[in-house]
Order: sequence, then C-alpha cells, then structure tokens
Amino acid sequence: MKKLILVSVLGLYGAVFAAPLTDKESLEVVKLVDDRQRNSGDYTSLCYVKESEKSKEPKVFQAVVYRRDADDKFMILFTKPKEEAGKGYLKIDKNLWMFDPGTGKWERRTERERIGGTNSRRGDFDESRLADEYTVTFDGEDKLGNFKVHKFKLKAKDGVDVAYPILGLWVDQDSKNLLKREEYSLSSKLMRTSFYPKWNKKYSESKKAEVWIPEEIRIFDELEKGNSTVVVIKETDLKTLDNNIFTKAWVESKSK
Amino acid sequence: MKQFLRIAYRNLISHSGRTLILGSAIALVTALLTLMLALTSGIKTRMTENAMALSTGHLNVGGFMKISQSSSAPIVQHKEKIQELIEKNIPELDFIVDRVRAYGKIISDKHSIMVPMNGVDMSREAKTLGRLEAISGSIADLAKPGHVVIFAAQAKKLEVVVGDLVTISMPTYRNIYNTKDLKVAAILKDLGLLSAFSAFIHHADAREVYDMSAHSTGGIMLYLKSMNDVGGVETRLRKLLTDNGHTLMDKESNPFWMKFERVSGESWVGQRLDVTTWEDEISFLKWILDIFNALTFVLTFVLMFIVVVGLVNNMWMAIRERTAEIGTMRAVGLQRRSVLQLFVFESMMLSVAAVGSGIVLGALIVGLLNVLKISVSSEAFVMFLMSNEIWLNLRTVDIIFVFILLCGLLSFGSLIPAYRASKMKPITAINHVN
Repeated sequence: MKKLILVSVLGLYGAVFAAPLTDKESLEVVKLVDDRQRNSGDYTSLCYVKESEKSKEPKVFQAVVYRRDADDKFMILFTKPKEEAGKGYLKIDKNLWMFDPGTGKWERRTERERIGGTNSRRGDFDESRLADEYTVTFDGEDKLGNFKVHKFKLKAKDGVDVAYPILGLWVDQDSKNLLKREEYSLSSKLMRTSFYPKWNKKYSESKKAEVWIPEEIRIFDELEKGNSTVVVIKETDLKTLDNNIFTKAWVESKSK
Repeated sequence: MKQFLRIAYRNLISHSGRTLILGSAIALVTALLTLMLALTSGIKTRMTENAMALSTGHLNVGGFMKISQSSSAPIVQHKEKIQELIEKNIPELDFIVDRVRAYGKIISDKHSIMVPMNGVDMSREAKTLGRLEAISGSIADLAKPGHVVIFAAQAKKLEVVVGDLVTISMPTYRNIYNTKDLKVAAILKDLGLLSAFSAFIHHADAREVYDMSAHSTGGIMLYLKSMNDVGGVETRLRKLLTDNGHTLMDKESNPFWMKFERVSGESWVGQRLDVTTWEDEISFLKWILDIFNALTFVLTFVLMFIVVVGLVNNMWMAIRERTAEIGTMRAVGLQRRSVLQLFVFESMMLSVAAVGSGIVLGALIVGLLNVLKISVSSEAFVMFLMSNEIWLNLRTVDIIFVFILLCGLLSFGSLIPAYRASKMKPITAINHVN
C-alpha cells in the first residue's frame, strides 16, 4: 500500500512538473526573458559583427551600440573597417535612419534593413519586446545540449509590424535565458536560426536590478545555407549617456 | 554647268589611280559609319522590343503604397477603376496589361540573386511574352501558379534547370518577410542586360507573397497603336489621373525598382501613382547606347579628318598639276567663280560616287550579317548587343544622314584649295612649269 502511495505521489509530481505551460505561464516566461534584458536607463556596448558568406571572404565590422530604452531611442555607429567607419543607424520614434559618410546624407530605412549589409537586423541589437509584439503559445519541452528548455511558438499580434511574423524560442528552464531563436516567414518557412550561447549580467543603477546581455549571438541563414553572422557584444556600459547623443548632428560629428 | 561637270568627270577619269585610291578610302569610311549606325540602331530596336516584352508598356501607370513613412511597396490599388478610366479616355490605346511588380531574391540550393519579378497573367500576355524564346521548358506553364520563368544567365548563376525548386523571398507591403517555393517552368534565351533584370511568376503567387488583394496590382502597362503618340498621351494621362483624384509622384526617369530607396525616404503615406514612359523604364540601359553613339562619333571624326585631309591634299596636287591649264582657261575668259565651281564639282562628284558606293557596300554587309545570323557566345557581347546574335538595322534616315554629312564635309573641305585655284592670276598660272 505504501509502495502504491509513493508511486502515485511520484507520478503526480512528474505529471505536475512535466505538464505543458498554460498560455498565461508561457507569456510570463517570455515577459521574464524581455524583462531580464531590459534596462530602463541607457546602454552602450562595443559590438563585433563577423559576416560569412559562402564563396566569399568573411568580413568583420566593429560598431558601438547606444540605447535609451526609456524613450525607445537606438543608434549604431560603425567604427571599423576603415571603409565602413562613420556609417551610422539612428532610430528616432518609429523611423530608422542611416547616415552614409561617403555622401553625407541621411536616408530613411525599413525595419528589414540588413545592418551594414550583414544578415543582422536592428532588432538583434535592440531591446527585447517579444511579449509586446507577439502572442505566445507553449510548444513543449526540449533539450539543447545539457540545458533543459521550454519551447515557445510566437505569432505577431495584429497590426504590429515585425520583420518575422512567426518565432520559435528555446528558453533555459533554470536561468530563463534565451538560448535559441528561429525566425519564420509569413508562409512559415524557416529563414534564420540564432543561438545565444553566452550571457552576461550587469547591475543597472536605473533599473536597480541586474540586466542580462547576450555576449554572443550566432545567426544562421536558413534560406541561403552557408551564410552566417556572429555578433559579439563586449564592454557593455549602463551609465547615463549625454542627451545630445541620439541626434543626427552627433552621428555626423563622429563621422568626420 | 553641264560643261563643268563634264570637265570635272574627265579630270577624275584622267587621274584614275589617284581617284580610285581616294574614292575607296571615302567608300570604306562611309561603309564603316553605315555599319556603326546600323549596329546602334539594331541595339536600340532590340532594346525597345525586349523592354516592351519584359518590363514596360509604351506608358505605365505604377506607383507606391506606403503604410508608414519608412515603408514602400510597388502597389497600385483599385486597378479595375484605373484601367476603366484609361480605356474610356485614351483612344490611342491598343491593349492594356497589368503586372504585379515584386523585387526580391530567388534562392536555389547553391546561390541566390536579387531580381525584379513580374507577376503575370499569361492569358493576357500573348502579345508581350509570346515573342520570348525558351531554351528549355515552356513559358506557357506560367498559366498555372507555382512556377517561375528565368533567363539563361540567371539559371547559370543559380545552377538550376527546368523542374528544380527555388525559393523566392521578399518582404510584403507591411515589411514582413515572406517566401514561396516555386518550380522552374522555363529557361529563356538571354536578351542582353535587360533580361538580367527580369523574371516571371504567376500573378497569384506574386499577390500571395506580397500579401495583396486581387484588386491591387504593381503596374498597368499601356500599349498604344503608335509609339509616336507616347509624349502626348503621357501628358493627357497625367492630367486624367490627377483630375480623377489620384496623387502622382514627381517624374523620375528610372524603373520602379530603382525608386524604392527614394520613396522609403519620403515622409508621405498612402497611395501615389507614377506615370512613366518606356524610355524611363529602361533609362538605366541608356549608357550602352551612349557608348555606341560616342564610339561612332569618335571613329567617324577621326576617319573623316583623315579622308578630308587626303582629299584636300589630292586637290592641291591636282591644282599644282593643272596650274597652266587654269591659267589658259582664265586667259580665254573663264571667271574666278567658275574655276572655284569646277574644282568643287570635281570634289562633289568624287564624294557622291564614293559615299554612294560606301553606303551600298555597308548595306550589303548589313544584309549579309543579318542573313548569316552570326550567334554571339560571349556574355559581355550579349549584354551589350541585347541579343544572342548580331542583328543590324539600317534605317533610311541613317542612310540620308550619312550621305548628306559625308558629301557635305568633303565638299566643304574642297572649298579652300578650289578658292586658292580661283585666285590665281592668269599670267602667272599660264607660265607655270611643272
């Protein structure tokens, strides 16, 4: 009898803990993924982007990313190689602008802009807003290497303009770090797979909590197999930035 | 006058060796110029014909739809209403087709290319796409959705054959990435540089990928009964659309796929129509014609300079040889003006005969080359010639131009020595000893 009770309890325990997450619980996990990366203040980081295309020599870019999450401002300023130095992307309100130091002109760009001609998009460097932009459903449990993960399927909410309308997320059950992300086209074809193998945390004065920052993002083009992009994020700083940084004039001054 | 012509003719005959050499040189230059003009005209004709089939009508009503300031999609809404308006008000119209315009990637297992794609309704495209020649497969398969038709150079780059699957990828008008897998239905013969900027898919596939309604299209292509009416109809069409409440984009002589950046950078939202001519849509190829025109001009200038110098030199020699004769004619009462006429006639006679022969020779070579249908294997030449074979188009207007230009220049060149001959004093000339 005792044995039967023990088996029942273990069975119940297993059933409870292996049970699929409800939509509400899934949304809470994704909100947590967003929140852990969100910094209510300013953000600066040095990024290296390595673009590899089949039958071409890999190209490496260095850029500085500036963010002010409080009022949704964002900027990327390329510093290397020499021919790309001075090129800048600036997001003001809902408009993404690109500055070309060669012509000295600003051009409005779309959300789908390939940053610096690489396979990375603005969203790869910007604040995570998954819970705001997508509807979340639970897609099962999985294992990524040694990590036990929750799988989620995300669909873009009506009226929200995102580059990829369907996402697949693999979130570490223990740390709640995002480990893998799949991006699908409107016709449900897999277009990009990204891996987030390393995460760093940094204390934010403005948030009064720790902010999690992916140290490395590996992006694989699933349509053109063999093309990949590696984004390495270093020297993250969460100190308050000058007010005049998020202006076209500041980008132009840095491009000279 | 008749007498002078006879004297000029006899002089030319009496120095047959010199006349023949100089006449041959003039004839060769003429033949070369004729060939160059026929080649340029052939390229232009091919370019126009290809453009009409591949990417443009005589006139086009395209446009962009912007759902936000930073977006731009080549979409024309309420196409039926616009077509009806055009059909009612443009009597010069022959027929009309509409195509969904898309600009995206075609991706094979091995490679990818960015290319403007046309979503076509094959039941309405017999007069346009009907003239395209397939190397393999059948363009008629485009009548069914799920197919793509590409050109030979594109197939080579993508490393695909008929029956292979490719993926087309492009953002919808809301900037959302979309894809569709399509089967290669046919591979068409290359038509020069223009074919590198065209591929064809079924209109329903293009609408699906672009996520647009059946009442929207990419561009309405107007084919007129006469191409000469393009200018006048364009002005009326602009006014017609504006009067009916449509907002037009500023005129820019570029194809639609070169306007994305500009339109994305503009702050307006909504629908704006863009009226373009066939010349606007192929303006990015104008440099090829410019190169050939410049080459023809430089070549003609250099050769003409040499021939005119040769002619002037020839006349100096003739005058020197015939100084005593000029003196005798002047002594028996021939006026200075008549001496000038005599030498100019001689030059004109030589020019007319040589230039005429050159044009005949050039026309024969043009005819021979067209009959032989010499195929061009070099990709670079195909790109420039807009065709897989050498095709020249000798127009009457070019023949008249060459004749008047060369005869005029040669006659003008003879004026100086003829004038000097007419200025000779009879007493000095008559005593001149060779």
